[in-house]
Amino acid sequence: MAMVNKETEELYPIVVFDDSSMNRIYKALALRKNENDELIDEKDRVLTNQDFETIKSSNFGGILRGSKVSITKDKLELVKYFVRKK
Amino acid sequence: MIGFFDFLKGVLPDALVKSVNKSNNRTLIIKDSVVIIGENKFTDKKTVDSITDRFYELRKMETFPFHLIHEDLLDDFIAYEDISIRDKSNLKLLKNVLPYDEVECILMARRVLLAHDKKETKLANELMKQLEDNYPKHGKKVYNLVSCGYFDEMILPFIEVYKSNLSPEEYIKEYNRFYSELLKFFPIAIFVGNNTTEDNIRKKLLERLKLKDIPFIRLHTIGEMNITKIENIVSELEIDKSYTIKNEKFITSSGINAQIYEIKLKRY
Repeated sequence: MAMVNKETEELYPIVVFDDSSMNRIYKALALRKNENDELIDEKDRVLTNQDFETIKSSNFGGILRGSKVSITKDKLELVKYFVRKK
Repeated sequence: MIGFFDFLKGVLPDALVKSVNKSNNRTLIIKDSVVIIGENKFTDKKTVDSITDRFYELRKMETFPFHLIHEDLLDDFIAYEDISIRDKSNLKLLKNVLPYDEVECILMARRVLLAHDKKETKLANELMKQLEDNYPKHGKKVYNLVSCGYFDEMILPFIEVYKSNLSPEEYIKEYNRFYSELLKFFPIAIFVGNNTTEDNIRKKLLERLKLKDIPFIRLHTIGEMNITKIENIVSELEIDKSYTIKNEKFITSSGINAQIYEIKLKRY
C-alpha cells in the first residue's frame, strides 16, 4: 500500500518525454499535425491550451492531469495551471 | 500516488511495480526506445510499446492519472508544484480575492525567491527577468514584498481583516483597492536597487517620515554600492539623532552584502 501523507498526497506521477519520443507520444495520444503544424485529434479538432490557443507540434509541452490541460512549452502556462487548479 | 500503479499494472513486472510503489520515485521517462523508472531501464521494444499503448487506452478518459510533461518543463513544473503545496492556504486565500493575473505574478515572485533560496543565482536572474517582462508595472515590487516577508506577514493577513469588517460583496473590492494602493506606495519599506539614486531615497524617506501611525520604516538593499547610498542619506538626515534605529547587515544566500536599516517611529 503506497504511503500517502499530507505533503505527498498532491504529488501525482509524472511521465516525462523528450523530443526523441515526441512522435511516439503523438501516436499514443492519437494526435496528428495539420498543414499548419498544429496538433489535431482523431476527429480533426485542433488541440488548444487553456487560453484556447492552438499548439504547434514543435511547441507541445504535454498534458496535465486533472482536466487534461494541454500546454505549450511556455513556462507561464505552468504558472497559470497552478493558479487555476483547485 | 494515485493511478500510477494501475497504469503500470500488467505492463511491467509486478515486483517492479510494487517496488516503485514503495519508493518515492514518481517519474517515468520515455525516450525514443527507452523507458526509465528510477534505476530501471527498459529497452526492449515490447515493453516500451506496451507502455505507450496504455496512453491510447487512457486518452478517452476525462482525466489522466498522471502529468505528461516535456523534459524542458520538468524542473519548472516541480518547482511550482512545490510552491503551490507549501503555500496552499495562502494561494487559496489570494485566489478568492485577487484577479488571476495578480496571483500569477505572486506565484512567479515566489518562484524567483525559491531559486535564490536554492542558491541558483543564474536561474533566479532569468526568472526575475521573466517576471519583469510579464508584469512590467509591478513584478519587481511584488518580488520585493514577497522576498522581504511583507507579503505573508502583513499583506495576506489583511484579507481576514477586510473579510471580517465588510460584507462579502465589499471586502473583495476593498481588498483589491488596498492591494493596488500598496503596490503603488508601500509605507513601511523602501527597496533600494541599483537604479535608485540618493535623491530617490531621500525623497521616499522624507515622504514616509511625515506619515502618522506607522510603526517603522525599513530600508532594504543588497550590494555594497546601495548600502553606501543608504548610509549617506541617513547620515545626511541625521536619522539616528531623531529616531531609534536598528542597522542590520548580513550576507545573502548568494554571498552578497545586504542591509535592513530600520527607523522606529512609534512605540507600541
